Amino acid sequence: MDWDQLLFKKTWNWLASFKPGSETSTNVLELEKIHTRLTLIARMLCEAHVEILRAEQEGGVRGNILYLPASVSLAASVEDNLLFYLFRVCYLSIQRELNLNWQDTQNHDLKLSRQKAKEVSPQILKQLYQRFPGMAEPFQALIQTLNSQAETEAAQALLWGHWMESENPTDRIQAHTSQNLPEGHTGEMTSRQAPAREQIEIEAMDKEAMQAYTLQHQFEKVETLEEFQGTWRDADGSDELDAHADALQEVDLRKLTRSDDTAHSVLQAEFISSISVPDVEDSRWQGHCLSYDEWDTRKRAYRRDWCKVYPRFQHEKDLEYYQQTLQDHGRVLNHLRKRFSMQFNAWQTVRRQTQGEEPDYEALVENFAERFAGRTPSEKIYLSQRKKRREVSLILLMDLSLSSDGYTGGQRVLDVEKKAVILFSELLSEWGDRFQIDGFASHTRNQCEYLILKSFNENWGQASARVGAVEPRGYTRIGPALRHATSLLEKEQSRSRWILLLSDGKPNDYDRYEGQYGLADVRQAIQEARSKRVQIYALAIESLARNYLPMMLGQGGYRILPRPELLPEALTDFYGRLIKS
Amino acid sequence: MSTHLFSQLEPMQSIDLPYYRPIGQEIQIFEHAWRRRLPLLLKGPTGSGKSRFVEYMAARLNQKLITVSCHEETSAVDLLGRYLIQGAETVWQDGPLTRAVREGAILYLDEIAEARPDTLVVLHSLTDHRRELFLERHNENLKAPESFILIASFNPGYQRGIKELKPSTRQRFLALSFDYPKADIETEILIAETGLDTARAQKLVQLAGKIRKLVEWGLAETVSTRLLIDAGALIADGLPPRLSCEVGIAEPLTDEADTRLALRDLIALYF
Repeated sequence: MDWDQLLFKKTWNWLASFKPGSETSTNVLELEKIHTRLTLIARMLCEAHVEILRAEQEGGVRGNILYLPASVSLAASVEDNLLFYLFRVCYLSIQRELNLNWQDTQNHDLKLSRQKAKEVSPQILKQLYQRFPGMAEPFQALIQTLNSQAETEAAQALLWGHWMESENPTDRIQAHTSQNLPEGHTGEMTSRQAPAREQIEIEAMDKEAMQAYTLQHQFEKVETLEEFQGTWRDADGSDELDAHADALQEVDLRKLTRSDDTAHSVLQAEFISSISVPDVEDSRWQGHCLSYDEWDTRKRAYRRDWCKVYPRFQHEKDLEYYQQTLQDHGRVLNHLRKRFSMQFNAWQTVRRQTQGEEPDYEALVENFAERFAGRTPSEKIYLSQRKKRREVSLILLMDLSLSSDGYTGGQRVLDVEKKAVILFSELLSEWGDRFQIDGFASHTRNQCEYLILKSFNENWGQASARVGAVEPRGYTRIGPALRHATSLLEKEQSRSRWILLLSDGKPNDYDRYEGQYGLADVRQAIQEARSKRVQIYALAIESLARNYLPMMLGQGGYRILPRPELLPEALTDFYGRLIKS
Repeated sequence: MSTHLFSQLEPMQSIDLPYYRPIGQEIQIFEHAWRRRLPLLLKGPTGSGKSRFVEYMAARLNQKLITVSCHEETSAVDLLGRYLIQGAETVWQDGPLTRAVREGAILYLDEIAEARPDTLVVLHSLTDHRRELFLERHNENLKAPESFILIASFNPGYQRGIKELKPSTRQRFLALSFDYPKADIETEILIAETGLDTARAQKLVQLAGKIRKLVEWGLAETVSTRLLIDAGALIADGLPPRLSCEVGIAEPLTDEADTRLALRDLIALYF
């Protein structure tokens, strides 16, 4: 950046900091801080799986999404601002129930939408006070305060929000093929948060337009993206997001274009598509593949041989990663080893032995009884301590999708998982258990990758360096991965067969594998596994998982860890519980 | 089958019946099962009234009830009986199962899935047409009297995959599902059990309805009728409602900070 540009940028940022609403005082309450809490309340009130997203301004409700302001500093104290959010959640849940919104899908004038919202407020408030009479008084006080403060139209609108158009039910975009997928994607590198947008339109990226674009000359000399709505930009995916950080905050993200190229920079926008995403056509990736069915919840039927799973062996190694992990976590490992031996090395008492450490009083009494009865007593009158063979086959299934590229507690999710898997495997191999380590990621149904890091018959020593070399990639199509793992376990002779899933559990793929459709398929895959006597347990780190895992696995089938350091211990606990059963 | 069959089974007024509010036709089903000597499995979440129902039925049928709470260490010996040493002699002592068979009582195995699967195999000969119990150690064959019946309870949502009933055991029982009652019935139960006024009982039930919707999304166990009764009893006893619900509902359900706060907010909305 040249010096004049730099100067301008600094000055501009300084000026921009005087914009109303951006002051940083102590009473500001950010939505992000109380997001989980509010989501839970909203779900209880709506009795449905609703989501809360940041609104552009005052927000409203559309379908299963409640839009709330990103931060509030209206009232004097944080508590009162919290009360405001609580009020909005209650209010919107009732508005949603009464279906007081635009009944069509057109765009409406914001002013009119706000007015409409205000008009119906007495109706909603009446319901609100009726339902929650205890809160009537604080809510009324809040409304009065805010009304007296509000000077601008926007500030007044905060209380009542604005009407939103109803959900768009039909597909508006055509399916396009996904043939020329590039080999060896590298993951995204930079990610930033985009400003909130309530309405997003999906645009199809069609090949013709892309070709036409190459013939046009770009006249833009200044690197700006503001209000850029014109021609196609070349989707070369290079990582230059940080260079455009400020400009990006101004981008009006209202259109979503879906393309086949893997992105290197990601501008994160919260957005849940109400438009159903199309399927992709059949195509093949090179290499050996297996076909698996997928459950279509809407038709309540299987789509036969719908997904192609490519089992592959991981060859890349990172020995250093493995050694470093053992070195860094030597103490954790020792601690776990102790727990392991406590749990698994516990001697089990075997009764009625001809020799043993202690007399078996029960057998002894019988021995007496028989002798008194004049019969030949059994001589097996001792208790013996022995180790019993465990019969467990376990697949550790790691979610390698880009969602594991996120950070939690200062560490990358995938790294936390990798380290935990290394430590856990170290112990499993010491105790001689049968286990396999696999990973999965997908790029549409045609390309579900199933990566084998360590197979059942391999030694941990041979495989230990491979875990470190795994990098995040692609999307999360959980169903096919579970089905493939189930089929592997079916060949195992063990009495107890388990898949341990390390994932946030959010099903998501480029083609349609989202929301209800994805969830239903995963649930179906779990049912299939259970009917084949393969059990599934999931461990996840983030609180995001709370939205998905319970729905798929039901009570007792998962554990969500509040902190990443708990993962190795949780693995050990799970295993202890498993083999004791 | 017509109902007049049971006119003779109407409970005698002199017996003090425990409170039980029927939700469906469970009473008829139980009575039929009892008359036909068919073992019965009660499935349902914690605190949905399974044990209370069995107590009630035992009193209603004027039968003795023997309850065994099963746990991980419950063995066949614990159920059947054992020899004890007294001086130089050995004395046989009946276990609860044997006692129930001898006395012709109702045997209630609470949380049957908790017991080790192999111990339940001793039940098999009792649960089919043979209706007899062979005490191997005592070399005795016991024939179950007419009035003996086996009842078991089981919580399907709990410890899935780890503690399940063996299909061969399961198949031997008729099964009856219990769930938390509908709002109006639950309100009625709350009032009867705690003496709470209708308005506050209704509020408690509404609150529970909302929390139960959340179950699939994050709580391991949801608010049971038993918890509601506890909270209701505290309120009826004079503890402030909001506090009663916090200690009676929110705190027992979760230790997670966000969920707890959300539950407290919800409670504050109602009380």
